Amino acid sequence: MRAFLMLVLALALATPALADEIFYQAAFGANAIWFDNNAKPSDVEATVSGSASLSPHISAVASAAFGFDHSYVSGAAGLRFTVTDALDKSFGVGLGIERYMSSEPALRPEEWAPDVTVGWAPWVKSPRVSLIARGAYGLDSNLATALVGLRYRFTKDYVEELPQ
Amino acid sequence: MTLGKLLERWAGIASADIMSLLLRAGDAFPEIKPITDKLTAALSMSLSPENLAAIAGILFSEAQDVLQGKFSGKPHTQDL
Repeated sequence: MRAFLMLVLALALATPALADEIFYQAAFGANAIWFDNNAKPSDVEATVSGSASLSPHISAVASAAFGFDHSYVSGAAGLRFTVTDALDKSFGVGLGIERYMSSEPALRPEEWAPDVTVGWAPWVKSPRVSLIARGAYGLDSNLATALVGLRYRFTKDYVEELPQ
Repeated sequence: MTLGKLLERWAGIASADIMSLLLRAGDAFPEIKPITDKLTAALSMSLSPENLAAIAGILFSEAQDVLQGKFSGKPHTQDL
């Protein structure tokens, strides 16, 4: 785990200096989130999330959320690996691991959690809008979390394409 | 533990609830069941050991580049 933390730190430090070949995205949105067996209260969240694509299949990701029902703020940062076609603009599945932080640890545990995320942009005329679903598993709490959400990407559209 | 095995492990422990979520959504709302079925199938295929083993090699190569400061990000991603 220490090696992984050092990797995340190294990537974070390297990112500003080498921004030309990193693609940034940011989005705001909303989630519905709940825990397996209602171990923690479910909620509806407003979110801001961002990613820095470091390679076709590797992204550094971070997000913050506010839970409306229980008035908490939570955040997460980590890495995500795309395991589907990196050139597919409308669908992707990512495997990742994130460190979660929370203003209310009793409601939202602070821990590392591997996750699986499905992202889908179903509307051709609205490519900035996507639906996501994520399952995560807290390594300390041993609790599974599921969320579904809507994202609106507000950052600019890139015109560059990856070589075939 | 190889990268492929690590990905398999992560996929295994994190995907059960998302699969269950999609199945329950499809059962609860029959009108979206064709969509949830397609998503479930795509997810299963993406997280299959064969696909993860194939992608692990690509990831290993890309991770080496990233650690050497060679970035080649993709302009679009949906898995935010």
